Amino acid sequence: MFIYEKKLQYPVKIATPNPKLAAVIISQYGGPDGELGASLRYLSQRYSMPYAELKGLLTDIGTEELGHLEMIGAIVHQLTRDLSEEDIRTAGFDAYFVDHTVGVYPTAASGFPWSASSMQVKGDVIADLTEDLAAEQKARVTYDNILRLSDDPDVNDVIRFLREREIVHFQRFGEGLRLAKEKMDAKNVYYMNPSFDS
Amino acid sequence: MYAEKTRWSNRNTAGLSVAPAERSAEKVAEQTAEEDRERNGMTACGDGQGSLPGHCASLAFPYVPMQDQNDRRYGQQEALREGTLFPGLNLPFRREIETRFPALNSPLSELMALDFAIDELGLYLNTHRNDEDALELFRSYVRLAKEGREKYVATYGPLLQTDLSANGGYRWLDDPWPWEKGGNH
Repeated sequence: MFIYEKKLQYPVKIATPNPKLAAVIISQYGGPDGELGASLRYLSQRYSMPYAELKGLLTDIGTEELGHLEMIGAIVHQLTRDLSEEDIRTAGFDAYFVDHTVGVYPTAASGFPWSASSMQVKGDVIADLTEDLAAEQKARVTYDNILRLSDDPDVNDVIRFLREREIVHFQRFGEGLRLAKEKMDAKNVYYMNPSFDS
Repeated sequence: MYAEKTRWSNRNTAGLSVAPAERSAEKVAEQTAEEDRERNGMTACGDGQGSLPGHCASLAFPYVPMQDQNDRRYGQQEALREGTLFPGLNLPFRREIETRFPALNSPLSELMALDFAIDELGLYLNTHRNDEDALELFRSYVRLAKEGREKYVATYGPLLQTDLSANGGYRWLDDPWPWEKGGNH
C-alpha cells in the first residue's frame, strides 16, 4: 500500500518561469531515462528478486523515484506558471504547448511519449540489477546535460540533488549485486536464476 | 565457482594427449602471463577469476566495492543539501555551476532533512544489515522525525490525510500543495 505524504523529498522553489527549460526537463518526467521509468522498473523488478536485501532495495529506491517524479513535475509546473502570449511561442516549448497546454505529461524532451520499451524486467537477478546500474548512470548523464543547458540557480539546486541520488543508488545496486553473488556462490550456482530455477 | 573450476581442470586432464612441443609452448605462455601479472603488481587469481586492486574476483561480473561501515557522515541538514549522507559518495558534476539555497532552515526543511537521513540510512542498511552503529543512528533519526512530524502537523497542517487537526476542520485540502509555489515552507 502506498500512502501519500503531502511534502516533497527536497524543496522546489522556482522564482522565474522559463518554458524553454521546462521543455527540456520534462525528459526526466517521461523520457527514456526519467523518473517514471525508474520507479516502474524497480517496483516491477522486485517481484522476481530472490533475496530480502534486494526486495528491500528495489522497494525503497523505487519509492524514492516516485518522489523524484513528483519533484520533476513540480519543477516543470513552476517553470510554466503565468506564461505570456510571447512565452508560449518560445521555440522548443510551442510544440509541447499545442498538445498539453501547461499540463505535465510524461514525454521525452525529443517528443515521444513515455514508453515501457525504455525499461525492462528480465526476471533474473543479475540481468535486472545490471540494467539498474546502467539506468542510474543514464539518469545521471541526463542530469549532467540539464546542468549544461540550465543557468537557473533554483532549478540547478534541485537537479544537483537528484543527480547525486543517482550516484548513491548506483552504489547500493552494486552492493546488492555483490550480496546476490555471494548468496549464489554459497549455493555453488552462477548462471542460473534462483527465483525461477530452484 | 568451484563447480566451474572442476569442469575446467577435467578438461585439462582430458587434453593430456597434446604433443610435447605444444605442451611446452603452453607452459611458456602460462609463465609469461604470470610474469606479466607480477610486473603489474597483480595477484595470480586462477581460472574464472581476475584481479581487482588487492583482490581476486569473478570474471564476467560487474563489481562495485561495498561501502565501509565506518564511512564519514554529514549531519542531516548538510546531507539534504548535498543529496547524500556520505561525503565519500558525494561526486558533484561541476563545482562552479553549483548553487544552493543559503539556508534550509524552515520547519519543513528540518523535517525533510530528518526524513532524508532516514531514507539514506535505510538504503545503506538494506545492504549493511549488520551495521549496529548505523542501525542505532537510524533509530535515533526515526525518533526525532516522529517528534518533528507531530510538531509540524500541529502548526502547519496535515502531511498525511489521516493527520487530524486540533481545530476540527478538514485541512487536507488546504493550499498550497507541495508542487505549487509556496508549497515548500
